[in-house]
Amino acid sequence: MDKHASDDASHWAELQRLFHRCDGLDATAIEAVLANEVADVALRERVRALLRSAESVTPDPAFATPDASAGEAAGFSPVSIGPYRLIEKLGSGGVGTVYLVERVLAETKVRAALKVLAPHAVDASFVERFHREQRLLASLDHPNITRLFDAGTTEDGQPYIVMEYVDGLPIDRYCDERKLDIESRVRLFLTVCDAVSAAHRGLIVHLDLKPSNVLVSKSGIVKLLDFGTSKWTQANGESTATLVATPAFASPEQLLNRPVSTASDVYGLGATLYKLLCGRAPFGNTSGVVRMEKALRGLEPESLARAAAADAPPRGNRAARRAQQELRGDLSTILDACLRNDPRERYGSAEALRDDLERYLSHQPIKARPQTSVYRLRKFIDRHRLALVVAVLVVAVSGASLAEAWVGQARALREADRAVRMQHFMHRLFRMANPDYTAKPVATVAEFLRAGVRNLPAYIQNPADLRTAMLGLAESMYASGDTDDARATLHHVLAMSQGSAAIGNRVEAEIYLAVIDFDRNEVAAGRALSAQAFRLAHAYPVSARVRILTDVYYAFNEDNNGFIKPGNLALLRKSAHEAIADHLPRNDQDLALHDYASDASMQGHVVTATRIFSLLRERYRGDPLALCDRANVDGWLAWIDNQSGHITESLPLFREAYDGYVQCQGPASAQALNEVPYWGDALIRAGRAADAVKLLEGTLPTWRRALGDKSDQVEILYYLSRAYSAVGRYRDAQPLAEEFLKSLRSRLAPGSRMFGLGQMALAEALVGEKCYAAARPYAVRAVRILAKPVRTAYGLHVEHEAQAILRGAATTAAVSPGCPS
Amino acid sequence: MHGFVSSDGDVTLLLRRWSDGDAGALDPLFSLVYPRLRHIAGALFRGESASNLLQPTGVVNELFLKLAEQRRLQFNDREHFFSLGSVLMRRILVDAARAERRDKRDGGIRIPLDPELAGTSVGPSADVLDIDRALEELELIDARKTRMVELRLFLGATAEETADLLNMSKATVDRDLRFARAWLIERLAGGAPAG
Repeated sequence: MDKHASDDASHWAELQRLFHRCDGLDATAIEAVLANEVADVALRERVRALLRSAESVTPDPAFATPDASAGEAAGFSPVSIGPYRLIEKLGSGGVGTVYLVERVLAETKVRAALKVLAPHAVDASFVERFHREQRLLASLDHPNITRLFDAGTTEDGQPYIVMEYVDGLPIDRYCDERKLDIESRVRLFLTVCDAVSAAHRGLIVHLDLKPSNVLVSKSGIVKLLDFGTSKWTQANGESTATLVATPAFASPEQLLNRPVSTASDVYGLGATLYKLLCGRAPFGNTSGVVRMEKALRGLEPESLARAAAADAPPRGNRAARRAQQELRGDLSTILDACLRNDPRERYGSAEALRDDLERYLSHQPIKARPQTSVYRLRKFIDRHRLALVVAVLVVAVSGASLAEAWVGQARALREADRAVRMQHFMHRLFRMANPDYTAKPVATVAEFLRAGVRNLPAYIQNPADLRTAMLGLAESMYASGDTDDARATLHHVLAMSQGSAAIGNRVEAEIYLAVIDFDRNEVAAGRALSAQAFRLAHAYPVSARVRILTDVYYAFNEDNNGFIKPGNLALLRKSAHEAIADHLPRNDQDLALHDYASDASMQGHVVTATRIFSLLRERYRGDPLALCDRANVDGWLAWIDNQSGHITESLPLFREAYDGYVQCQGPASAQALNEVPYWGDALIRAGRAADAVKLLEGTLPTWRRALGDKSDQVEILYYLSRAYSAVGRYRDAQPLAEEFLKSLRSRLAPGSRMFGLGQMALAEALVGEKCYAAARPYAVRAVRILAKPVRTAYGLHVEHEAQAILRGAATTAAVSPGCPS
Repeated sequence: MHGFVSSDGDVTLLLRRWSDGDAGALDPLFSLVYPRLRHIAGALFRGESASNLLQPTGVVNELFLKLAEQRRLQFNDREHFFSLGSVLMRRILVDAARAERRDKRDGGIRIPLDPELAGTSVGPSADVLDIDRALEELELIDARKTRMVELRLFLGATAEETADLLNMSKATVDRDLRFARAWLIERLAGGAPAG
């Protein structure tokens, strides 16, 4: 060991302590620390040297990263190869370098891609592989597989092939740049399945399917590249892979050197589709060895359903939320069936996968799931709802005495009418009990409601009135956030609602239970309940109010959870009109209008949404009990403006929403605090970063006391960090971005979009501090994450920001001396 | 292949000893496993560029398979196992670099010091023989950090995976690696000649 090293050994703990102590401080501060804490001059110098090294990017010419193709540059830089003139280098991979070339044929210039084996890879097996590629490509003639034109040897003996040149983007980037929705992505992917099927029919497997091997041209034509690792499959059996393909997309059998087959390509297709749908490879950012270990241990990737759930988009970006919901159903099942470890459990062929994707697109039952009768029935109901309602009616009614049922219904309707009035009186009453935050805390209300449920039977003898009253209580419990009690009460109502006379109450209980299920993300249960309520409400003569509400809840919940059908918006529109025409109680009318407007906004009918929300706003004006409702509508209007790029217009609305929530729930309420970050974001985007800082900074202490980073609402940290950076206060921005990231760590998968945003904020702050080296890994990761499927203009805007920051981080300008770790 | 198969029992025994902290078991272990691994790592010795080399899956794969086939591999022993993989990988790289250096005037295999930035051409890289020498020194002072660096540089494990394998927090690993990286760069660049 040399002197430095042995000196270090004797001061090791101290050296590390000082390094971390000074890491991130500026030069003056470092000197102050060293002067105060270190007597040993040599040790001081060691600390300084290490700090300098920590920031170094290329500290010495010897460290300059050699060009990846240095060997090639040294020995080989041709102008033309054979009859082909080289135009530009397109890229180089493990096997060779690809050039864009041109050849004059019958006075026409023909462009092509020429792939030449790099000189450092001269080895028998490579040449053999190369020739295999030649043969394979020549035998494949398919519009979605790149065609082979020519093959030969360069003057210095390097083999090359010339193939169709595709001016396109890798399929994942293509989808993101075009902002394709899920359905379009799946449709595009069908073509990939077709091409792979065709190759399989020719007994050729690809074995390296991944997004970068699937190009899409500007006109949307899919082309599969690189059959370089393919091999002939024997008609009767399987053969062993000798080369490990890209680990992130490779099948377990390839990683484990086990026999490969067409099922390995089914895996590759699944992994590619997984990337297209949720923005990352099935196992995310893992190293090759750990991926291999997982394969050996038989671990399968996180299902798409779970991966999507971890990617909660900020706020009510309902479009993104809807997309998430879509990923939880059949698509997740289909991918599970591609990505099984055991090849025999996967789809038998690329064609079978394609067929299932097609079934998914046309809302037919897919084959991947074990076909339980319940599942089939649900899909069947989705497609034949009206016919089925009639059938259910017949079955249900024929079981009981028809006459008796009708008499019972008529009486129940009269009673329900009376009860409804009572319910609404109670509803008002309970809301008055908790109109603003200056009153008693919510806990008292919850107790009050529970006591109500306990005591009601003593005061109300009529069973129909009792059920209706309890429904009213349950609704109030739900409104005050007491979900568990609401649920218990609703189940109690269900238990009391036996027989046809109680159908109306039963339906109402079911729709509220469905709403609670959706809140808890129990989508399947929620859908089943609301579909059942919908059927019952249309099969039995329930009151107009119950039927309209059922229609509203059913249609809104279907769409809001991603099961979009054009009929739903129409049903909401009809219900809103009926609610007013039938003089339903005021808050029921408002609910119908609100859900209609929300759905219209989600479906992109911005004008309708704005009109209805504005109408609601007028209706709430002057109603002291509707402060929260009005704030909610203002929030929606602000959000619509913001997302449509009307930033300036959104600002006063954000203020109104915030002020409204402050009045009705208090400044420390989750609702009021929820508006602040988005308001701040709008201020930043309106070029008023200083005001954003003032707003967000002013709210931060309240947020810390009331919610803090243990809550789900941590966006304020992110936006304040961005605001600080926007006004050049990078040193303040950095810890907030770090805190934001830290708070996400316990809740979200590392590849989530929110992480990308956090990494971007941190990189931005570090670049601002001229700490380029420290910023770089964060910027790289941010771009990696934020380049995932993005469906809104806002998402793209963010991605571009991240790329700009990465460019900033790549600068080689002088770094600041005191950069943090 | 035959040599490897016949000595599987010994390999397992030696791996156990090494896992139990017997550093002396590494050399015989290495000489038993090495011929087969060298064969797998054949591409290294044909002088492919460094970015292609750093796919040690083949090498580690072989180890996993041999041990798993005998049902002796306990995956709760992951840390030792991956550490061994990275140590072997390091030796293989060093060996390949030496062979390279004999053949070519300006040979040497360079590996990136920030695996996450590999390919972006902004991160520093260093000659594997220099890294090896610096790591030998680091090993004497701080074996733990050496393991950490090996996992990152030679096995290509991500920082999260390194933390997971060493049963440490990601923050601690980040911190330690930052120090270790600075120390290595300093040793390689400015410091007095090694040895």
